[in-house]
Amino acid sequence: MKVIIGACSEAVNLKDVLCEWMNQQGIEVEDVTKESMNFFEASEAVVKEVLKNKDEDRGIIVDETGAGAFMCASKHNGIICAQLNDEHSAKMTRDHNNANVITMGCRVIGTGVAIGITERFLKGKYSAGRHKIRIDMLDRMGEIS
Amino acid sequence: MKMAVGCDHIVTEIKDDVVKYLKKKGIEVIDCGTYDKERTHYPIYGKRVGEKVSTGEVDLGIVLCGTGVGITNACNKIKNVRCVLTQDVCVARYAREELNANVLGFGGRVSGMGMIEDLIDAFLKTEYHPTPEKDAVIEAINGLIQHDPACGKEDLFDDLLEKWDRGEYHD
Repeated sequence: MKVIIGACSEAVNLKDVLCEWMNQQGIEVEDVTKESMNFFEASEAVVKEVLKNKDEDRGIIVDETGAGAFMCASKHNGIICAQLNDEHSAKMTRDHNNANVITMGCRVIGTGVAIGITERFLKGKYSAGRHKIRIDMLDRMGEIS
Repeated sequence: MKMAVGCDHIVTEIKDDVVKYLKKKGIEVIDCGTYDKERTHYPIYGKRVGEKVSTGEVDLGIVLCGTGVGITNACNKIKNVRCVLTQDVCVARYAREELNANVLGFGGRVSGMGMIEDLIDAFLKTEYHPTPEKDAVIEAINGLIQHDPACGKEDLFDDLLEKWDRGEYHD
């Protein structure tokens, strides 16, 4: 598993905190952030990389509130995105939704919670089973678009 | 003002409270279900709400499931839906002001009813003030889905539901 991370220019500091934490954990990280990105550009850069190996790799997009990046990422076929600012949802969305991308807002969230969310998102396992029909439905909505 | 509301079976009672809250405000509400606690699937209801928003049948939508993640993703897979998933007033406000969000999503197992009412109030009170820059970003988000034959296709999930009925999706 590789983590692809990207941030808009306002959220670079939080992105750097998360990169440092992931590096300490020995997690492979690819930072696709470029100077002066807006949330749309950051989101597209992350999604493009995640879609190359969407069942293995994970994406993290940080912007001001998480909302803009969430709208962008969740539009893509094959992406299930969670706009998060609590650790409970981070755990549940891996378990039930098989989310492969999350967004967080640097104006909304502190570094402790952001790291907690990242940890749960990266360690959480998808339980499939009865949940899989819902994921098949989301995929179906994207496939025929 | 006309709104569509949708949920899955985990949070039906909270959805019913949301519908009551909206009606008390004088809002006309289309309750897209689900209507009971029988196990069902959030994309069905997210799609219904998204379609009503996308076609202009309603002005705005509200969706909820356990965390809100599943149903908001279904909504956003419909063209021209801009659904926000939040538990904070400042984000609900930002999504309306900056992104002209047309669906509010939250987790019924994450936020309590007091917070939910606050989120709804912020979402309804805040207006989008267009600028060319904001309009361009919104156009770019809408452009991520070019063509959306899923919208309005009522039998989209039929074969998957048949598989479910045959017991092919089991834990």
